[in-house]
Amino acid sequence: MSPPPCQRLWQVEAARDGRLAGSDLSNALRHRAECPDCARAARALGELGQNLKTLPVQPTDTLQRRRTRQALLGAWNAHLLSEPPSKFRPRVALGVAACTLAGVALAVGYPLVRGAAHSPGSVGVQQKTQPGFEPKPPEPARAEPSSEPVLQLQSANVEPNREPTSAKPHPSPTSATGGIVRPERVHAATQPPINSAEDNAYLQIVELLRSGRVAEARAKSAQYLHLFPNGFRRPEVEKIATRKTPNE
Amino acid sequence: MTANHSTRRVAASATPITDEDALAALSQGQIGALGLLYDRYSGVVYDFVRRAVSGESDVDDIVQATFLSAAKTVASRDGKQTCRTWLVGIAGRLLYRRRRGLSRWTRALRELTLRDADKYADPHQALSARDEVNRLSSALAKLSEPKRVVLLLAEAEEQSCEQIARALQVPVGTVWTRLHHARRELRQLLDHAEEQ
Repeated sequence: MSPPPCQRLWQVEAARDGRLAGSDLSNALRHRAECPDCARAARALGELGQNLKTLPVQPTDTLQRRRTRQALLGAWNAHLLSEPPSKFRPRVALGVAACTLAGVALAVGYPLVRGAAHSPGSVGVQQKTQPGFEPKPPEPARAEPSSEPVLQLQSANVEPNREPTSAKPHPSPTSATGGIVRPERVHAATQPPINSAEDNAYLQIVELLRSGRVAEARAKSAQYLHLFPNGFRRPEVEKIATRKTPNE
Repeated sequence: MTANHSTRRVAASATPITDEDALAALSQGQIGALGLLYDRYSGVVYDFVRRAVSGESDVDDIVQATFLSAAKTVASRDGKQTCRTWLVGIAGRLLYRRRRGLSRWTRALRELTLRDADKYADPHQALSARDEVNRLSSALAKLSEPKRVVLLLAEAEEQSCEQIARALQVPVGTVWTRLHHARRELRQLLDHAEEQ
């Protein structure tokens, strides 16, 4: 009667397949060195693996391998041609997603923060917890921007609720009334007002000339030169002033 | 200057293209890289597939499908595996999936064919069948395809069970179970052949 096989035979295969680790593996290896059944099983497993590794296979025909290569490359080429190039670019998509997220966060968060900061009676938690803290009284409502033209205010250099300041134009884009001065209006305020009197005077001189009243035209021309010494029409008016009448 | 440049060019051209370079080129769709990998590893893949399918006629198709699948999935390749392990794993997965649905029928047909072949074998074949290698081949052919693939990947290709599980996309416990049953069946078949 043969003795029963070792109860730890399963550990041989388990150790070979990597199912044992650590102390279990070292115990199994130590037992295998002492147990003839396990040593025989381990040897049989090794031989089986070696035989499978060296199992002869039918050699592949070189021509057939070349044919397969040709077919493979043709199939891959057809695959590449049939598949349109992907336009999806992960980095670009990631950037677009990040920008979108930032935009949404800004759009949602900014009004909330702004609303919290401007809401009347809103006081920070830290300020409330500080000892001796007294909330400031609400500031008086800011004056509404005046509906009068800014040009008029600045040219007159008079502000409705304040004392007159220096004559130079205000450097800040906001006016003293709290209203916002538009850039074109600031530009218009710095320019001198358009004076049409010079043009009117010149036109009157021309009318007098056309009607044949040369003497009157000369008188008007002298008046023009006196009123507008740097006028735009000075050269023409000077000629008219020196023009002689038909009787002269 | 020119001599140095030409020397450097020769040295650069003499540098062999590594597998990683070829795989990187393949991931960019370069067809030459696929040809290079085929030239290097088609022998290995052919041997594995021939052992696994036991003389079936569609070996070429499986090898071609292996490399084509490799080209398509090269971007998702695990960098820890060698190119050989990776390609053989793909071949194993193709065989594993190909046969899973029909394993019962193919096994029954194979057993029937082998039994008839033993029955009507000529004396020369019977004489050579006594050879250990032929016995092993016959016994291996009688295993089901999944068991045979797992056994060959583990023993002939020396892949770990974790690598096999990753290649076949099955749990590692499944690999252990299939491996155990494959060895037990193979041992029984070999013992049975010795008795005969």
